[in-house]
Amino acid sequence: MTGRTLSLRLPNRLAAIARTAEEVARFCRDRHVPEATVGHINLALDEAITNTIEYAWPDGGEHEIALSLALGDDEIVAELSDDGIAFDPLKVPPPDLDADLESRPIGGLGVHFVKTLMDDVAYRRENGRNVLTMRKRFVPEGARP
Amino acid sequence: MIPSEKIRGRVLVLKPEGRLDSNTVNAAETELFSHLEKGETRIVLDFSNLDYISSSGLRLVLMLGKRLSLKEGKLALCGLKPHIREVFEISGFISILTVVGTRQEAEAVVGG
Repeated sequence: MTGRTLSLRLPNRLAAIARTAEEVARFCRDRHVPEATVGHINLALDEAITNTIEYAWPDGGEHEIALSLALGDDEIVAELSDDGIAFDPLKVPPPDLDADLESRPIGGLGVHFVKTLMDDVAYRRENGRNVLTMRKRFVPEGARP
Repeated sequence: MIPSEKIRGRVLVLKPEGRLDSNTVNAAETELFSHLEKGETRIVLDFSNLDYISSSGLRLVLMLGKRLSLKEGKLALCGLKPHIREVFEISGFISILTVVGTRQEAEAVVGG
């Protein structure tokens, strides 16, 4: 096991998300993060990055999204940042999970996944950047009785 | 291409593979809706080869369900891996779509 942090820069292209997920999975597995936790982190990252790519830069162009992961003994903290327009995903209204098939609106789900899958999510605008911090606790693999 | 198979001349089984996410959903949507345009109204989504789905993929499944319901068609899902089933549960879709265990059950629900 080497470093406890991972820093990546990815282009604002949707195809970059699957490659990022592979790198995150490799980093986590080498450090005994349970498979289910890795899946939750990668889904939350996918939803957050997809939103950023689709909404942060209305004029398009090539931009970078920064991702850092910091691993503690029983938690992982992921931080995403970008220089797009200010957007607080936590202000997106939650979807109506009880609506039936015909009336269920399409959308609003990505942020709901991030909030549901992570233990703690915080947004701040800092130096002209959106910074989203997501925290997930876990029981380390091999530490179970 | 999403592998497909016509069962007993009336049920279309689609078996997407790999990832159904923001990057792949547009191609999948074009394919699914081309089946609808050809008049398919009884569809099974067999997810046993699907490794990953995000909210983008779920939205597509929901749209398909809505379109089929307007045409008085039927949609059933089967073969969900546990982590994919979990995503359907978190979204609440598990209670508004027909999700069954096996392909046989799904074909029976849709074909009947």
